[in-house]
Amino acid sequence: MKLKQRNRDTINGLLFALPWIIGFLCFSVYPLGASLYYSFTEFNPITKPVWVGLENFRMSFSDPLVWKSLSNTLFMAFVSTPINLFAALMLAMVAVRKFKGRGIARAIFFLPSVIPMIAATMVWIWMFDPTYGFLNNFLSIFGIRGPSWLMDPRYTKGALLLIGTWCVGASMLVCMAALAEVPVSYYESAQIDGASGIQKFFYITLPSIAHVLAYQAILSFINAFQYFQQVYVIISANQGSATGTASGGPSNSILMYPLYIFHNAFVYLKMGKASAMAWILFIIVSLLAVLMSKLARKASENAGVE
Amino acid sequence: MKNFLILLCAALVALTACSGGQTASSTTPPVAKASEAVAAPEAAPEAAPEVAAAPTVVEFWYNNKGDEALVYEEAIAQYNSSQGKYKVEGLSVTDQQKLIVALASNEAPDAVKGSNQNIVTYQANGLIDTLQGYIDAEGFDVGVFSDAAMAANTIGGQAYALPFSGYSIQLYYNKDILAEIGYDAPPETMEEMYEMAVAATVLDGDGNIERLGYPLFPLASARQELIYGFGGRWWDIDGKTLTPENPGTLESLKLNVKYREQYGIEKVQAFIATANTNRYTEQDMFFAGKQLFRLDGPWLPTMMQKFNSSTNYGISLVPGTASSPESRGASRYETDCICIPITAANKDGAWDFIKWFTSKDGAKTLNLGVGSLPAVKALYDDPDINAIPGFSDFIEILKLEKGIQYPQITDFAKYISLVEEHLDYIYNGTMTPEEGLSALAKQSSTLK
Repeated sequence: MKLKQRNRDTINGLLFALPWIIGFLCFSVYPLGASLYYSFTEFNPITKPVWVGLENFRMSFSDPLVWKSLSNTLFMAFVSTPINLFAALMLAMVAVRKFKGRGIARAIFFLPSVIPMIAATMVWIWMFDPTYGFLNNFLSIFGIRGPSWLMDPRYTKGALLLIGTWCVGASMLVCMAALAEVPVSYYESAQIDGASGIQKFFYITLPSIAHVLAYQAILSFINAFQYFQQVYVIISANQGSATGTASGGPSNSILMYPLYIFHNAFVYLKMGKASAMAWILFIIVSLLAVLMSKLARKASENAGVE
Repeated sequence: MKNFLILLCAALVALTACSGGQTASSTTPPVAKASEAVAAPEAAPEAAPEVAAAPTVVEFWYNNKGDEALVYEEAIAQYNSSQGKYKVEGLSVTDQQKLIVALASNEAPDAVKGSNQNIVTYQANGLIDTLQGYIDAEGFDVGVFSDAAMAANTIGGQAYALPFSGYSIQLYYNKDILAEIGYDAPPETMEEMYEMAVAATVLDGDGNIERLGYPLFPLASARQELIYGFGGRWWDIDGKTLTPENPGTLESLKLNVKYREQYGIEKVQAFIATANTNRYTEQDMFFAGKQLFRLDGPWLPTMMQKFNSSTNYGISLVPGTASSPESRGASRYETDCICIPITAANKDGAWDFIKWFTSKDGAKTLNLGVGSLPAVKALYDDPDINAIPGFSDFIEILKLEKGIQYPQITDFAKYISLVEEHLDYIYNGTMTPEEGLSALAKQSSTLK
């Protein structure tokens, strides 16, 4: 009787979950399987896929732009992650302090995160204008002649890092929540022992929130591999009327891997190669995510956090 | 009972979740809608003649938005009121990705507006149908279009789209600046143009360019017309062979780099970056009198009028060179056109609409409304069209038929990306023109 009831509960539970299960199968599992199959075929959206074995993977590995886009993406992942995390933590530490106008300061810190990325990027394009832009005008106050941020390949990634740092509001919120969880008694004890502010930060704050920072780092790292909107908007704006062409910015300096997948799929109509590239990315991100979570766990353990 | 209710709820939720696809499919088949209408007489016999005559829906997608989209809607309304057999429903779709996905699925519209560049790519990938069958069957006279416009949409002897507007790029010059540096006529050769450009370039105390002499902006024109004028070509006239190491191209790039090096690569790039950000705005460099020469299209005078620019400009042919004077006036030639997707449900209706849309009446509505040059020859002398600022000059240029056609290769988009990539390396000083073109030749050797 009990078994029957349990079976019935299972069936009822499954029925309630059915809409999600159907969606998951149709929109996640099927596309995933289909893209794996397509990665071994040559096809465009209209023709039937023709099996070509590993040709798409061979083509991808021998395409210099695949490597270029991968190195650009890795640069953003490895450089933007620590910078953004550091900026988020610093802002959070300011935001948790009690001072007059704290609410306004918090709102200012968080506001860029709620602005749609496309709109924010359009604004930044104007800010980066070498002649009339805010940034170069600001630098000129100190006698510095600012560069052509979005035309000079030496500065394009720096410009992207700046945009990224401007939008760390969400990470800041998570850091604020983590900081609020650190027991005050730790700081009181340290105060009695005569610890300085820097010592408190490195010996109490940082170890206490290490697990949260590690989690944030992994998320930020994975997000960096999906870097698309900002570069797409910047490149489209710079391209002017050159419609129907695919560019990676000055000297391909901001050609990110997802953008190059998009070019292959929807500009060159090489869906097979695009699928192969997507799977290469999937494998790389998975490996790096596993590696990072192991490192993060080790760091947390060393810091004495479970 | 309780279990039954639970099951019922779950089923309802599941049905609701899956109903998204239904909405999409229920909006489509225009033919099905018509057949439903035809089936109606059984229920209401007396209404049969009216219902049976209900027009078949033709879906038409165009990639214009804002005021331009309104012009398309106006043209569609004119077509709909001109006959009762078909009813065109227009939709502004500016997202190329959405269009490609639709072309590949059963959700494709019946007619699509594009450029001849798109036509080449769509045809190479089997996304659009040939119109040649309709043209031959009806004896449709394609001679009403300019030869260049028709050639731009014909692949392997088969017409894949019909054009309704065309454009080329020519040389705009600032008459006041030209007079200031002691010239009274625009250049006829690139050598003359360079000489004038150097004389007109103005720097501030820090060496920043305040006035650009050589037409390095827009970049798309520097990639095309500034090279075509030297006799350079990125592809052969056969439309199949790529010619990345063309001597004319090399000559053009050498002069381009010479100017950049003379005034500083970074300074030129800074000027171009600002020009890009402010393109076609009130602060546009040409509108503001900060560019002596500008290689641009027929829409520029209308835009200058819109932004109250007081620049005293003239229009002239793209210069040739002393050794290649026949290259004077050479420019890309692009058309706006309409095609039928291979998966379209109502091809006959689409063809009927295309014929009207590209006719003298239909094309005139669009040319006037959007401000585009005609591809229909009968409109070349139309007083309304010629009244648009700059159009009479450009129409005279179109009559010369010096347009450079795009190549008809499958990997065209990839080739252009490679060209732009290597031009970047050359402009930034990473590679010399010789190295850049050699690397381009190597990279593009495997393209189909």
